Amino acid sequence: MQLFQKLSTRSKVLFWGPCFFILAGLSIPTHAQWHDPGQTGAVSAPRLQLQNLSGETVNLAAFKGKVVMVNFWASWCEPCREEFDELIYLQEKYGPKGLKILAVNLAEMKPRIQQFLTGSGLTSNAIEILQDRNSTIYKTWKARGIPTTFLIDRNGKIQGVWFGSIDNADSPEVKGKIEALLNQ
Amino acid sequence: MTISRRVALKTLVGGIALPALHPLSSAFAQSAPDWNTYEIVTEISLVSPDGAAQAWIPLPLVLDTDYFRTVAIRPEVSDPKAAIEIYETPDKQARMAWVRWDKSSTTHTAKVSVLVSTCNRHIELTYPNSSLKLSKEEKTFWTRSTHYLPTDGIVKAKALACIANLPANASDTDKAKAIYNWVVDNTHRDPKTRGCGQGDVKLMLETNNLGGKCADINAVFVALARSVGIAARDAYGIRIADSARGYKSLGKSGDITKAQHCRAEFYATGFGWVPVDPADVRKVILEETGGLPANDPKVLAIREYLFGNWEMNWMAYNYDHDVVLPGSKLGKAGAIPFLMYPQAENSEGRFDSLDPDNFKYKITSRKIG
Repeated sequence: MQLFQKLSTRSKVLFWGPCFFILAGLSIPTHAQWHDPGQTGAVSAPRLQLQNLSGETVNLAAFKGKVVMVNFWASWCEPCREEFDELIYLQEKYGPKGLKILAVNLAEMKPRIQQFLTGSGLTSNAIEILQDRNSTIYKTWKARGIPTTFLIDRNGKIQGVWFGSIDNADSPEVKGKIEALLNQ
Repeated sequence: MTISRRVALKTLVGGIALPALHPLSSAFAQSAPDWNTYEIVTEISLVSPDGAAQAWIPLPLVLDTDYFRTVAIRPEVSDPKAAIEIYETPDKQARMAWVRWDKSSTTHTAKVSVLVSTCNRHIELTYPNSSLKLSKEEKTFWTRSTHYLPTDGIVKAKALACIANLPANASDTDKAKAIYNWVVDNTHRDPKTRGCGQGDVKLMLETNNLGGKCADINAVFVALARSVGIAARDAYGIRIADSARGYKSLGKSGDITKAQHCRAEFYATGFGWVPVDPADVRKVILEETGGLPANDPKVLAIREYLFGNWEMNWMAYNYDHDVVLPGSKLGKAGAIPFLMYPQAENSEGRFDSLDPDNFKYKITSRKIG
């Protein structure tokens, strides 16, 4: 039943059609668009060490050998909220095969994040949420807007970045790129 | 939010133009017929575990003007071990109340009361006064680029396009008016923009996403103006009273916690700093009586008014960009684009300045004379 509810929500998100890319407060009508890592100015994944909602320190370096998606989001960002179900779906589907998703929250405080999770019927461990309270990781990664999602291979190299909301995790543009890295 | 009345005035930075700390009641004596006096109170109560923390509360303009005066500033903290001081940024463009709690602190509350007097601002752009001109250093300063307001590349190209049809001998005012018109005609207020926006002008132009709020839209005006050599600046502040001009969307009194508003100015040789506010034209179009067409008489009237006038139901905080908060553990990496909201940090990091309910802070305003 719980799975059915999640799928229903996800289907609803897919139906929503055009969504918005929030650029630190700006919105552009667009779906997620894939870009080469060169457009972000970084090929190797920058340092990422943040606390999760339990207060534990999580270091990107600890996931070497896995395929990692680093997603920047905030609860006030509508497309980020809509994207969340897609990210959870990807984590559940590909987690056993070696995918780790790190959902880096931009500058919000824990009560606001908890309010979003509760209001959305999500548990805090459905996906690994990290807190970038100082926005310094966001700046280091040169995200320049949310949602933005970096795809990192098993060797810690950025293979590309999605600017905008991933609104269909089953599309070839999304699952194809993830599966290609998982199969390497 | 209750704070002890113990006034803990500590290290006041020497040598700054700090108004005398009058008893609040004496401010009434300073009111002139066309001036209004307001008391603005900012209270913060950090939702923070015990221990060290810092907060920075924006204060009114460093220097008085002919339309705005700071009458008094009264900072208070309840914890006897806390320190509070008035701090000015090195470029003297902003000041703030800087509060520090040490590691033994168990409560993190502070209150800053300010009294300001304002009068409506109008610049008559008819008869120039040759004595009104900027020095070379001032002009360089007010045409500089900042992190979010570059003055080259796409910004300069857009500004040149705005003024392309003007004659070669066009004045600063002519050029500024052309840019103002372009901004009003091409930007829009996006209600989904968080806070007042970021003012990342280059990104707005590159993505052709010209939606935003005041810190975005007026930053476009300022960056475009600067890029063609017109001195211009953002003026960050907060609405402190309802509009007397009949625009409900352009005023706020009482609880003004979320009433921050950025305006803009450009310098016209012979006339001085000229107030403008294209962002508020777009606000009227979006919000006034549920939304108005751009050719509605009420929109046309405010569009005309907001080139050369400011209704002073608003308090100016500062003109500063890329503000490094003193004492922050983040140093320059923690610089903020502008200081218009209370800021704080503790061992867990920065507080979300756009989330007053969880920060927590509250700002109120009342007219007292």
